[in-house]
Amino acid sequence: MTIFHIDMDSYFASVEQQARPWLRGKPIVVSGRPDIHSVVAAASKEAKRYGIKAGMSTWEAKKLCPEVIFVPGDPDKYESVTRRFLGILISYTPMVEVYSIDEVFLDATDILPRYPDPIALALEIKRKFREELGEWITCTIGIAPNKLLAKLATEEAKPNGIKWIRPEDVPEVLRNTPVEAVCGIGPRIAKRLSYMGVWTLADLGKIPEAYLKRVFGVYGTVLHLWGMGVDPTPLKPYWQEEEEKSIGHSHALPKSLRHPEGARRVLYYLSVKTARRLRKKGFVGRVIHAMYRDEEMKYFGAQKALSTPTCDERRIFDAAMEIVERLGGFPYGVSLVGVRVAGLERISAHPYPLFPEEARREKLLSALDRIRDRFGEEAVIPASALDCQLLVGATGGLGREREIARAVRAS
Amino acid sequence: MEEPLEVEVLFSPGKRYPEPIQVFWRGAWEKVEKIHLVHERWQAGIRHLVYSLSLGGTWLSVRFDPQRARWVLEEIHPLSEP
Repeated sequence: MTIFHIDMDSYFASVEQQARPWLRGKPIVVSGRPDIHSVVAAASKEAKRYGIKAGMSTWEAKKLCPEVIFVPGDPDKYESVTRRFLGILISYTPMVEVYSIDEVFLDATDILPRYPDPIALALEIKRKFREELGEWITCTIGIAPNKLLAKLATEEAKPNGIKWIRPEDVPEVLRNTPVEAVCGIGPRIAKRLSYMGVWTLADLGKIPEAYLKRVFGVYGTVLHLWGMGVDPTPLKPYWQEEEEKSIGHSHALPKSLRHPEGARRVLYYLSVKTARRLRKKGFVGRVIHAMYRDEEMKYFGAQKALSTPTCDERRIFDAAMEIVERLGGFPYGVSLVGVRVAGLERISAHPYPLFPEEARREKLLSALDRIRDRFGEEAVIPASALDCQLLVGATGGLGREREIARAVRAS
Repeated sequence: MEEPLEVEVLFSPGKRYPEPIQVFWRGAWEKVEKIHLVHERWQAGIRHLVYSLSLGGTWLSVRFDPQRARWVLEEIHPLSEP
């Protein structure tokens, strides 16, 4: 088996530099609005030289590089470019997994006999990307016998490179790869492994599976396989529908809304967005989960099961507020709020409302949905959530891989 | 900025999107020097095409609204900054 891992370099930033040539060669950061304490979604190659990384707060980025240029995220633009490069990959094989908006796995086993070697195919993919997307949007390709090793190969070849790990190279790669380089082994697991004298993947492979299972539970089996250079996760092609488990939204609060009333309004706004997504996807949910983060960056959250499943923002919001009150209410300085609906069921499996009040409410929601379908998501906003328009325009795209896979399937 | 524009496009075989070749702007037809990026934008359920292109040392963002069959100039910027 030969797996290609294709990772777009500094993706959102490169797309912006491709679209706006005067930004090329400059340190830029794609983020939400810098005034609402947002995070770096992507840093350009030039910004990375200053130590700016994705996930960092915008003020930290500004501290590292005062001349950094903040560019607001444009999720539609990135999704559109992703769909175009996916189109190129799908023209080779349907065995393409959309791992994230800028990362793809491709099973090249069946197409490789047409090429002298995997590098020739990788070069052809890179050339087609350049022709279709532009010269500034580049990618790195890792090639290996499985997804784990292909991702490791990509990390070594970044940016704009190609690396092929042949089956005979695997033992050496395992000897040279620190455990924390593997996506899925975080600093805490790495620390616990270091107490066991495990520093590299080869060290991990030497630990008996039974011992790892005793220490890490079922995760021990996965760790053992990784130590042997084996990846137990199969490639999930884009055409295989994956059932949603939960739907929700969370948002960092701008300074002007960091008080109990502001957080309540944002929670209502997020409940409206969540309910809208539930209805759009044809789901109702029974379990409501609400969370917030205080000014010391500590998270608080709990969940509540409803007697009947819902896709009504009012019920979602009321349940979420009940949870927040149970946790002691929003404190002053609250910096992030979120709501999530789980225990999803198909809306079609539920009977029509029995009581006139419920039926009126359902009609109202369906009318609002039709208005939003026609005039855009922000066409109707509850008056109490009007302040939350400040949140519109924050960076998106991350975590939209399911929607992208679905859109590619549909086209 | 929402300024109506006239754009001459070329439909090339094998190309995913029509390519603007000339833009009627500031009272004259100007040749498109380069198309930097084309992307889709969904507005109220309608797919618009957005082109980032340069002509005469200026960068433009122009959008095609397929429902009204109209082109609009959305943004303008000098191609290189001092």
